[in-house]
Amino acid sequence: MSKSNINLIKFLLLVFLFVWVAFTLFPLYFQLITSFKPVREINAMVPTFWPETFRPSNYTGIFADPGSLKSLIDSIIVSISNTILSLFLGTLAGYALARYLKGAVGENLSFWILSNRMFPPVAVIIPMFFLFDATPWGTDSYISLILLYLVFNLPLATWLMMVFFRDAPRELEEASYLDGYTPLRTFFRVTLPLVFPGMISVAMLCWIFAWNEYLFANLLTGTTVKTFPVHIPSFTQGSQTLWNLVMAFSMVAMIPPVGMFIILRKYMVRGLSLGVVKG
Amino acid sequence: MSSLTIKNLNKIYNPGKNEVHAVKDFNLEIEDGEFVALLGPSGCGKTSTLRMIVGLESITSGSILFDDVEINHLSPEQRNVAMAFESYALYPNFTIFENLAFPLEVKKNSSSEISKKVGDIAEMLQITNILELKPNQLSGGQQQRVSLGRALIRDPAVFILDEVMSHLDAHLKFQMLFELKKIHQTLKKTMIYVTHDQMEALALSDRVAVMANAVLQQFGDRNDLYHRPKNLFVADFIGEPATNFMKAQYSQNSTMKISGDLQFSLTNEISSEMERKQMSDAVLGLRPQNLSLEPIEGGDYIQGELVINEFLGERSILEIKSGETSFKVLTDPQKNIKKGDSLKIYYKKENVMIFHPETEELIEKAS
Amino acid sequence: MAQLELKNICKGFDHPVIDNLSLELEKGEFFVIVGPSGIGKTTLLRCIAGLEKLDQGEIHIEGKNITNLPPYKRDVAMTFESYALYPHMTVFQNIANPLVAMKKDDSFIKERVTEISKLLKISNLLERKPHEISGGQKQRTALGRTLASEPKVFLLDEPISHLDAKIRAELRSQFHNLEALREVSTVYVTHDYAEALSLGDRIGVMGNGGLMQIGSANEIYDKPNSLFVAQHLGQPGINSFEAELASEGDSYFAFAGEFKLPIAEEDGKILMGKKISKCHLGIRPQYIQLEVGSKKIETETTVFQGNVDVFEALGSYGVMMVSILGESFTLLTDPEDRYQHNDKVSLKFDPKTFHFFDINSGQNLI
Repeated sequence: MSKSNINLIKFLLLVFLFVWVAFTLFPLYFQLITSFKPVREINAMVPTFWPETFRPSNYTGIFADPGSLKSLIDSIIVSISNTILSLFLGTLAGYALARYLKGAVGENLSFWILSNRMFPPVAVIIPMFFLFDATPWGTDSYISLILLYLVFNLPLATWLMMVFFRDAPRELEEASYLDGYTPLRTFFRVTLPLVFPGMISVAMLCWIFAWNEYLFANLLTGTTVKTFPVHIPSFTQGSQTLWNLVMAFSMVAMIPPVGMFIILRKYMVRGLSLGVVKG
Repeated sequence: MSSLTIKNLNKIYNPGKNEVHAVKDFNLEIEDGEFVALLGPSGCGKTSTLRMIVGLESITSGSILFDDVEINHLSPEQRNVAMAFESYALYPNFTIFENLAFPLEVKKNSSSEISKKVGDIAEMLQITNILELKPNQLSGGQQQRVSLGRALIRDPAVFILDEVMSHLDAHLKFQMLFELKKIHQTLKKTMIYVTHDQMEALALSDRVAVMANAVLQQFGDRNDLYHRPKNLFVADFIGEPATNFMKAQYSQNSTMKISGDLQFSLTNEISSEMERKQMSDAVLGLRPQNLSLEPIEGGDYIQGELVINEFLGERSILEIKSGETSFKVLTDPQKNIKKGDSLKIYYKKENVMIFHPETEELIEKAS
Repeated sequence: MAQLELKNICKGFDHPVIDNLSLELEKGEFFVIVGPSGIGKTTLLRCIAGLEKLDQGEIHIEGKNITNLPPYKRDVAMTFESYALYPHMTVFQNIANPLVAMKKDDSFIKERVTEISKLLKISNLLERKPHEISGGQKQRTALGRTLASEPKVFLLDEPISHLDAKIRAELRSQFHNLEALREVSTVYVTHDYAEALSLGDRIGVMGNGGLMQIGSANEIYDKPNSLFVAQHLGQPGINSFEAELASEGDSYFAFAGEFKLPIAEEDGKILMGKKISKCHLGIRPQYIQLEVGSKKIETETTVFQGNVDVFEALGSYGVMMVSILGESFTLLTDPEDRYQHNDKVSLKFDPKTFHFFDINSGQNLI
């Protein structure tokens, strides 16, 4: 392969990458600039790609409605609670599957658990509504969302933790037994530290799903509990949707997940590669 | 096959603040058809050197020549070098036949040609009867042979083996050593064998290049390395059991005093060299196999007390103490001596090695 | 009272690995189990440790039946082949771990860990993590952790197998010198027969689900009770071939094809007495001598001429394979010798060193 051929290919690759990045980042860019635009500009026939007028007051404007802040707080409550619950249950279940259920039974059971994740959550919306309606706390409560989100987060957490536990060397636990620790103490002293990076990445994944969830939240809640995706439609005045405020609000809603990602980035990478690289 | 020349080879990783100078001014000349071992402890630079020969690592400075043609800028497949890996790297979904045929298919040989070549290699390596099996059905030794076969089948100019024996148990290693030697005698290819095990290196190769701390310490055959090690490192690294080392003081009448009554005699050549260099302190090295319980003709002896008699089947290793100094003696199994016995240990002054206390180089007679 | 007693233990997976094995170790004994890879040595250790449940049989330590106790209730400590050091703990913490489990106070722990690390020459590494130290240092840390527990039985699973030859030789002396291992009893597992011979007070050769022979180093090497044991102790392995036995007057001979080898009178009498006509004849490589010089070779009945197949100088000794009349023999020579393929050599045999094994069972016939 001659040098000029290589350079041509490199150039084409660069062009391709550039197009791809532009394509992917454009919506984000547009979201950002729209959040700074005044109302009149967002309704313009020809969309502008740079705000003619900057309105940073949009960001304070969205909090004029006390519901906005409450919705962000509600989202945080629901997401964190669900993440903790999913992680806790998933870790225990994953450990059991990795260590104690061998052979066909274990394989089948773990696959069935994973298959629940492949199940489209929307198919159970109606029965779920009636189920939670029958409970003392009703549908419009924190508990119902926190429990309901387990439908998709718990199989994920269980499956991933099972994989991480499988890769944690059993010999380290055995060494701990011989040092005099019971299996329970061993689990906390030896096993968990080994899978800790994995747990972080599982937590991140669960959090993302819970944070962005709209369908169940919209159907079951809306008054007592209102997560931020459910609050977004309130930025409509009559027939006019105030997109600039919507964009500003969603920019603010992006801060918690993006912030967590940045802080815990190194754990993500370690966690994701834990299940892949052996030995 | 071709000769391989390495000139002033250097490799620096991460140039700048955290740089690692992995290979320093390495020079080597390997003849066509020679079996050379690259020997050294982990981290000595042998793997980096190897990777530069194969083309998997860029060269910081210096040159590598095959048959006097510089190949620095050629990619690995252009260099016609084949490598057998420590981990076999066999394709698990292919049969052994397909594994062996793979390099030839890449080169677009005809299928009849491929069958013949695979057949020849399989016969030479005695794996004809397993050609239809898959790698996971084979034993470690068989996998090893297939790995060698796949590298050999390309008929490379230079054949490189990277720590291929480290996974094998003692028994298998023993067999493989003989087989590899036979393969070399049959094919007469230029082979480079990389290892940290000095026994393998000495058993297989014509000459051994000993490396430590990125620098070539010595390049020579078994005789050179055993009897005239260039420095303390080589004397210590080569030979099992390890060479006995003792701090010594030179005194007149050609003797080296160790401690108390313990002293060794020197040859006149070494003696005069030490006087010429005005040396008094030195390190004395003596191989356990050059010490004996049987009187040696023309040899001297020292007195010592038996501390440990380590019976190892075909041989015994005795730990002898004289005053504060301990050293080891390799002998035939000894049943009649016990701890505390006073023994005469014989040696020849020609086998006494003296090393400079600072430079650690061997003191030899001035040529 | 035996320190460790194994009573008829059986353990199998999809096939039996340990079959009716019994063993008694006295206090202070350093017992080595040697055998080829995969034979079940590690399984045996894991059974004693409690990491595997026995199918049958009992294990007693100092008279107490511990068969049904989980590993953390048994008073044993084990060094794993892979070291199994806790990666998130420092060397200090790794060694201290069993003491923390016993809830000892900090000053005691510090003292004990310092003592052990000094003994094993790793005191300067206490603050490092396992991934920052070399293989030999990891091995010593793992050993330190085992020593710290002060168990009633030490279990060492191939502790130095994965280190290169030079470090192995050094660390072998560490096992000679560690008194602690001889205060209670130690079971040491290896596939390296030289290590076994060097270290064991008694050695058990493992095969066929059990210990085929138990004895001192000299006993099992010079008086192997079966061909299996003889083959597994020795590098190069013992020469063995099928031979027919016959007497000619007062002399006894072994025949293999055209090869006629005289055997010792005492052996011959015993074998004839047992009416044995065929057996496996075993000769260790070091008992075959190279005859040099111009002796009257033809008249010596124990000297034979043959062709060199291969010669290899392997460090401190040379190995030569010679064919004599269709039989191949391996012998040890001086590494300084130089022999080529097809050189003619004369080999001298010593009938007093021959071993005779049953042609079917492999048992030693003498």
